[in-house]
Amino acid sequence: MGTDLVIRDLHVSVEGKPILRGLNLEVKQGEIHALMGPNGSGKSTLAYTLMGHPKYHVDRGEVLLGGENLLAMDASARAQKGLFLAFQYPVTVPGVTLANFLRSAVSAVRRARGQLAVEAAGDGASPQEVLIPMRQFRRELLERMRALGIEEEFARRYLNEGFSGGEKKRIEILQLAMLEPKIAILDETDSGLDIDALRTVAEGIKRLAGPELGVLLITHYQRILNYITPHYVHVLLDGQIVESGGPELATTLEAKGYDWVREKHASVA
Amino acid sequence: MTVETLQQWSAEAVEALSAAKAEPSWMRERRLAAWRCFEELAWPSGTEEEWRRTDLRGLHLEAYAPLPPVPPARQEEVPAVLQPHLALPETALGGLLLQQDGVPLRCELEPELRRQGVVFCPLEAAVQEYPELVAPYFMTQAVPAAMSKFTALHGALWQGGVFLYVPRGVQVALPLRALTVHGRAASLQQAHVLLVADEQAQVTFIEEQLSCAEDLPGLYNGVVEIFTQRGAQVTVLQIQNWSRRLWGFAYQRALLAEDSHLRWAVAGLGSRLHWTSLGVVLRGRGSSSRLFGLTLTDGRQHLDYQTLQDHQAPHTESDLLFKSALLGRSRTVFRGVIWLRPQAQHTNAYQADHSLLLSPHARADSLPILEIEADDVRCKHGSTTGRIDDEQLFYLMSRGLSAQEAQRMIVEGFLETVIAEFPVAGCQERLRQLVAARI
Ligand SMILES: Nc1ncnc2c1ncn2[C@@H]1O[C@H](COP(=O)(O)OP(=O)(O)O)[C@@H](O)[C@H]1O
Ligand SMILES: [Mg+2]
Repeated sequence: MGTDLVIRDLHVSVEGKPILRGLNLEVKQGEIHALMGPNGSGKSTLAYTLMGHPKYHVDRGEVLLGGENLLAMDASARAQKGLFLAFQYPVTVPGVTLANFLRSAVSAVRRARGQLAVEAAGDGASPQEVLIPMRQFRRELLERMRALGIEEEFARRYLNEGFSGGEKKRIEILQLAMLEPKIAILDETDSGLDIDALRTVAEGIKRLAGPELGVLLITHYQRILNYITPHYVHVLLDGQIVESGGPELATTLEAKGYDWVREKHASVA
Repeated sequence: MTVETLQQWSAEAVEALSAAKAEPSWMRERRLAAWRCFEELAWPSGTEEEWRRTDLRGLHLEAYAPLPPVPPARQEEVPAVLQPHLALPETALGGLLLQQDGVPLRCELEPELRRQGVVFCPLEAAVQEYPELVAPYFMTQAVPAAMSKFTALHGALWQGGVFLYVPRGVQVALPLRALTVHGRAASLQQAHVLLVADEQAQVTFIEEQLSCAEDLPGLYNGVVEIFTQRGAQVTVLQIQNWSRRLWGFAYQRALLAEDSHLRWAVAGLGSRLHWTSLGVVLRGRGSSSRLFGLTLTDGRQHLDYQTLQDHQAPHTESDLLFKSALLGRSRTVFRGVIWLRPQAQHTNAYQADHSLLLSPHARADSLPILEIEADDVRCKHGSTTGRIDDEQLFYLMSRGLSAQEAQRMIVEGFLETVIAEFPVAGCQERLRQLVAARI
């Protein structure tokens, strides 16, 4: 059985203000879903809620990952189960190098998935502290950095500190590649990128997509869909999915704009 | 603070100490002069700006005895507890000086450095052998005995310490390291560090302070004096890791001559209570300094730093960055004075201090004080006090780290940006280990 993401009748509020109002969506491993919507429609709210940000309050509904209740888990347990979020605004963590951080994160995730030999801790280290061997980690990291066109020196730099917008997005995809999730949510990974950066990032995502990975590609614009063809396209408006269809829906949106959806669903707002 | 007539503290005790060390008369005179200052000066009342935030009421001076006089040239075996501290990870040293309770246990200096005229030895030995190098500097300009009751006591009864002299133009490539060890329970430790870098000299000096046991009671009353002569480039790194039952007081000053540069980084990890006055005096045109500090406190620890960036000459520059992470009921005080004197035109002075509160009961006070008497200057300060950032925590947890791992990483990262400013790999490694063991 696949590790599918199932969202049913999801209602979410932030600081007492309802944002998502009955959202339904299923993303199976191997599928690519594009979620489009105007600014403020609730796309990031959905992303943060799925990942377990404590600020987002689920008022109603359920979210399952591989049949398990995702809402009962904290963010780290969700990540360990195979969920990943590429942030629209990646966070800076001074003093923590990308390499150090990723080694701990990859180790935590692999430990949880039973992919890291815990017996290696024989010499006194407690099982929670077992890290992936340095040489193996470096090899994997450098290989994936190369594939994404990221300079080696980034491994020693502090997480997102002083990175350009494009670099941050690329580093998000690098983390996605290292953590090997089952379901990845990409929150506007395409925004703020020039055309070259967009191509690199899109190609990176495309290489990772496959039967093992389900993708929820959140985007405001249609342009990333020139590189990645989604199986499904959904339109989010005022906290509800109001249209769903195939790739042609994105083209219609591009041509007619969000006002077209807004008028069509005036009753929702 | 309880102050009673202390039998061990008297003019006779000063004379006896000086005699036991067979000191030259100039040092004996200085000790006695310091003693007279001590008798005249009062202990801080707690109303002075520098002492307002450090409560000395729990300090019982009579509980601490001065160390027995150490006759010159005594050298003993290195106790087993100190063996692990002798080397710094992955770091070659140019010299090592180990002292416990004022007794020299190791004095090593690369023969080549010795040949070039570098002096790195216990201060007592230098008083005997190099009076012409010590006398002009010892408690005359940087930290005069009359500065306070503490410095006067120090001047009268100091024992142990380091003298480092680097002759003109000599560049010491490998760091020189001193380990100052507190091993005797309830003792008064009064080590004195005197560093003189002559014109165009370059040197890196590391001082690590530690106790033989975590719970060893003690009182430390230290003085550090640093002189950088014209064009000298000096790095001083200090790690304070005394026992959790030691009360510490330190007056530390650097005097910078023309075009000299000082990088001075300090870490405060140990002590029950530690009050430190740390100042750079930019006396020479074109001199510059960079000060860094990090502290990690827990339990009921109390660390107080009174810093001074005193610009007395034009075209001088100073920069200061302090970071404190606080656990438990611990408390830190940072009071940072920048003083730009009228003659200090074309100067830049910066100061930033940041505190990370990891417990609802911890408290950090920050008081920047800017005295600007020159007009063509740039002066900036910034200060923040906060808790672990929720967005950082969520970001790290979203990658699979547990809440605990993520917090740990954020705290280590917070301090790491200062650890990275200790430009000796072994010091950085030591600090990372000490920090990791505490969070
Ligand atoms: N952390 C937050 N605090 C307060 N309001 C928020 C927060 N996150 C989202 N909102 C509000 O929720 C609505 C949807 O925002 P968001 O989910 O960011 O939309 P999108 O990502 O589609 O642009 C907006 O009205 C926004 O102001
Ligand atoms: Mg958004």
